[in-house]
Amino acid sequence: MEQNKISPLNRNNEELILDLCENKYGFKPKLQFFKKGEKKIWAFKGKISKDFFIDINKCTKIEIIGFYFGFIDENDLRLSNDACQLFRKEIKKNIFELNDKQAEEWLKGNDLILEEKPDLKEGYIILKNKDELIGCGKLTGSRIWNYVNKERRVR
Amino acid sequence: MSHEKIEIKQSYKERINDLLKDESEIYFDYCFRPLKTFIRVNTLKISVEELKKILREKNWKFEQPLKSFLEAIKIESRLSPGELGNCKEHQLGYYYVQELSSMLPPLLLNPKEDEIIFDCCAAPGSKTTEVSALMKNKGLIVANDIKIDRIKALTTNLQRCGCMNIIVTKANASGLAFRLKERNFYFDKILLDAPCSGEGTIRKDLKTLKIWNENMIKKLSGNQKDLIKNCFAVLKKNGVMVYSTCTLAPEENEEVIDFLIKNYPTEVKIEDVKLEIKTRKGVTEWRNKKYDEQVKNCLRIYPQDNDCEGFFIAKIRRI
Repeated sequence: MEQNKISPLNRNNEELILDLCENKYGFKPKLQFFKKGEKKIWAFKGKISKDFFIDINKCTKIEIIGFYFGFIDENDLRLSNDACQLFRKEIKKNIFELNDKQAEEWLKGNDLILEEKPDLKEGYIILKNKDELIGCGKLTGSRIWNYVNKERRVR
Repeated sequence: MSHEKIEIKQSYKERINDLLKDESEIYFDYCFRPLKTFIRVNTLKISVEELKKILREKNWKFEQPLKSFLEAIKIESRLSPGELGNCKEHQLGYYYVQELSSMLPPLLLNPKEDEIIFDCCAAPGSKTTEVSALMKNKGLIVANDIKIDRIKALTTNLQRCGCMNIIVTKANASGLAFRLKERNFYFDKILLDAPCSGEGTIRKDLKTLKIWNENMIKKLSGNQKDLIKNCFAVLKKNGVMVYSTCTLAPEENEEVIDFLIKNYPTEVKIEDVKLEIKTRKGVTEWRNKKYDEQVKNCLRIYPQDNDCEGFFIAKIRRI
């Protein structure tokens, strides 16, 4: 059960997340980060003191804190689809534009097979449709792997 | 949504006759009318104007029934089944499908950006996400529920709506409040949207009428009293608690508020509040029981008054 325990990110890991946000995606969010397990990053924006976190942990198990921000994958950061949407006005880099048909396929949970390999480094990229950032996928060759949760897919 | 006529239990008819007298016929008539569709714009992800533009592009007809809360949108177009919950804008968290009455308790709570809020029975999260949006993702909400399957629905909705100022806990709210009080922890505001018999939701699901029985009301009333007494104990002085249910049974409403007043006779003030829709005063007498005069300040929302679900709301200040 230890792997499901939520704990504040230490300073080194917090710096790693902020560096990835800034260098890879071009934004620097002002958030408090927590981890659940080794790789899942949660972000809290609001008012929470260390004492309160400790207090409430003693009173009951914290299931979730804040918002699922992303996933650390071998020093790369996969932003959650909701993080892409929330920070759509701040994310500036590693963006690939989808047409309406591709966006529809993405929201249905399908991988995208592109006609040409995009001019972007392989790894996680942000997907844009019109004015929206609709998610984050992994570019490998000319394929973008989909991470939309089953329960969030448009049927 | 099924709207076939089902048999109304005699004891329920009698209770509604006692409560509404010559209006009971129109009440039952409304119970079998299809419910209007409302959504609430999730301002954490999109502005009201931006969503209105999208809705117009989709050729959906709509209106904004509350001048003081433009986030509430009534969908006038007839949509195909599942269309509202299965379109891109819903999946992206731009709106929450939420009945008009259900939007009102957070408005009375009136949370501020720097406050600490306890949402005692939060799942599935319609009001929690609304409170988070009203707080502009600032401050802190402790959103609690007792059942893990309901917490899953809650966390999915919080994530979809982009709520970042929330801690989700799984606990019996009374027990959690007791333990927090032991550690001298108090909240600025508390939302207690208590589990109830759901009489107000008959229009959404006629099953409510089938499973309804008077014993259930007695049991729920006991649980609600336990919840309100323990949760009120962690409310700061001058803090506000909003107690709400989606039922019309006085045992689950005014009787619970009366119980709170009797347990904290010098500390409870039921505020006299107004809403933009038609409301009625709380009842001070029910089946040989007399309640404290202050319960008049509670709000009753009837389906026949606003063509919405039935609801009960009390705004309580700790003095």
